[in-house]
Amino acid sequence: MNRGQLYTLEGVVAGLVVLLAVLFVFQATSVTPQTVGATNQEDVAQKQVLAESTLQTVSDEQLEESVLFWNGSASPSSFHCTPNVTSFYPGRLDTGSCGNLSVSGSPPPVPPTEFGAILEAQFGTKYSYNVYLAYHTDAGLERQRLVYQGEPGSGSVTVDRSLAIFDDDELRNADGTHSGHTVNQSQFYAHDRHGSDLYNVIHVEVVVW
Amino acid sequence: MVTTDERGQMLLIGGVLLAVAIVALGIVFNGAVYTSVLAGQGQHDLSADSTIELQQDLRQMIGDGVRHAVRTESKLNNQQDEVENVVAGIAANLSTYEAQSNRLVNVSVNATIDGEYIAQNSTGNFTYNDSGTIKENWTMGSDVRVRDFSVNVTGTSGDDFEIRITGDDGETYTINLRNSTVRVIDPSGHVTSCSGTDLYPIDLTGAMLGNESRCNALDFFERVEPPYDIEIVNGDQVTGKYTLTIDTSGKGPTIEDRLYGVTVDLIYHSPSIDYNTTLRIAPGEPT
Repeated sequence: MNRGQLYTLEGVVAGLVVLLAVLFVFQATSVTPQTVGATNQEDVAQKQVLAESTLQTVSDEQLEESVLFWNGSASPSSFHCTPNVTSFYPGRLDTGSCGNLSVSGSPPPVPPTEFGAILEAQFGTKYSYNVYLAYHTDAGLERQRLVYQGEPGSGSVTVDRSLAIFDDDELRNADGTHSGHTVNQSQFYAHDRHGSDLYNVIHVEVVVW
Repeated sequence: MVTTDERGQMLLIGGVLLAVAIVALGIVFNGAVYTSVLAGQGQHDLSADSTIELQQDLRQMIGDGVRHAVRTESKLNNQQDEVENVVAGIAANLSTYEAQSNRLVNVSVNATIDGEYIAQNSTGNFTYNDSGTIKENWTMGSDVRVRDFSVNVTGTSGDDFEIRITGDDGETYTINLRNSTVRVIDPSGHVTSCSGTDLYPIDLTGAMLGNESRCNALDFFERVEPPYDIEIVNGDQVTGKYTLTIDTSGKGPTIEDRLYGVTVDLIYHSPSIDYNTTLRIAPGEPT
C-alpha cells in the first residue's frame, strides 16, 4: 500500500478508538434516582427523621383534641368548619374564627388546633402534608381524612402514632372545649368495637412530601 | 521534531492514549456519583425507632386505661378486670394495624400492680392518728413507689413542714412546702426552689404547680432510687388535703385498695428486628 493510504488508515483507526472510548464512558454512567426525577435517599431519610420527631413532640392532649374535633351534630357530620362538600380540611382555607387558636390575619393552620399549628410550623413552608385517621371496623381498617392537600409526591414518608379512645371521651367544640357529648352518644366516624370501656384505637398517620 | 518518515505511528498511539484517559475520567466520576448514592442509602437505620415509638404509644394508651379503670370502678378486682379487657382490646387493634406493615405485634398483661390509694379528703393537719396518739412525724409508706402525689396546702402555722423521700440507696430528698415557696433540699444540702402565687395544688410526681407552670426542682423524683420511703415531718404545721397512690400498703387517714399499674409483655417481629420486652406501666409515676 502507499504510505499516504497507511497514514489515512492510521488516522481513521485512532479516531475510531477515541470515539469508542467516549461512547463506552457515556454508556457506563451511573443511574441515580435523580436521573428519573425522584428525590435522593438522603432527603427521604431527613424527612423521615423530621416527621418522626415532630409527631413525638405533640402531646397526647393535643392529639386527642384533634382526633375528637368532630362536629357530631352537623349533617352530614364532619370536622369543625370544613367546607360543605368534604368532611376534612382540603388545604389551608379561611376557617374564620373556628378553632381554639387566637390566630390573627393569615388563615389558620390545618387542622385549626394546636396539633395543626405544630405541623404547620414544622412542615408548612418546605413540605406538604396529609393527615389520615385509621380506625378499626368489623370489615378491617378504615381511614378518615383529617387533612388532604393533594396526592403525595415521590419521596413521601409516613409516620404514625396510636391513641386509645374511651367510651366517655367527649367530642370537642369548635373552640376546643369539651362539648359534653361523649363519643358513644354522637355521630362519630369510628364506632365502639369493644364491650369494655375502650371505644376504639385511632392511628394518626401523617404523610409528608 | 520528528519527521514524517520516523513518525512511528504517533497518531495511533496518541489516539489510544486519549481514549484511555477518557475512560479513566469516566470511571472516576462514576465512582463519585455512586458513592454518594450508597452513602444516602445506609445513612439512617430506622428499624429500631419503630419499637421505641410503639413502646411510647403503649405506655400512653395502657396508662390511660389504668386511669380509666380506677375512675370508673371502685373495687380493685373490677379495676383489674377492666384494665385487662382494655389491654386485650388495644392488643387486638394494634396487631391488626401493625400487620399491614409486615410487623407482628403481640401485647398481653403479665400482671397487675395492686396498691393503695391514700387520701386526706377533708381539710386538716397532715398528722397521723396512731391508735389515739396524734403523730406529726410519721412514715406514710416504706419501700414504695408512688404516682399522682398531689398536695394542697391551704394554711400554714410554721415553715418547717417537710415531706422526706428516702431512696433505696439511703439518699434523702426533702421537700419543704411553704405558702408561696416550694424548696427541695438534695442529699448534699443543696437547695432548689420554685416560688409564685397559686402554687397549690402541687403535683409532686408530675412536677407541676397549681398555676400550670412546671417546677423543675421537683424533677428530683426521677433521680430517687426506687423503692423509697415517704415520711411526713412537722405535719401539724400545715392544713390542707392530699392524695396519692402507692404500689403496696401504707398509712394515712383514708386508705382504699386501688390498681397502681400493670406490667405487659410485648413481642415484636419485623423483617429487620425481633424484640421481646416487659413494660411496667404506671401513669403518673416519675420515670
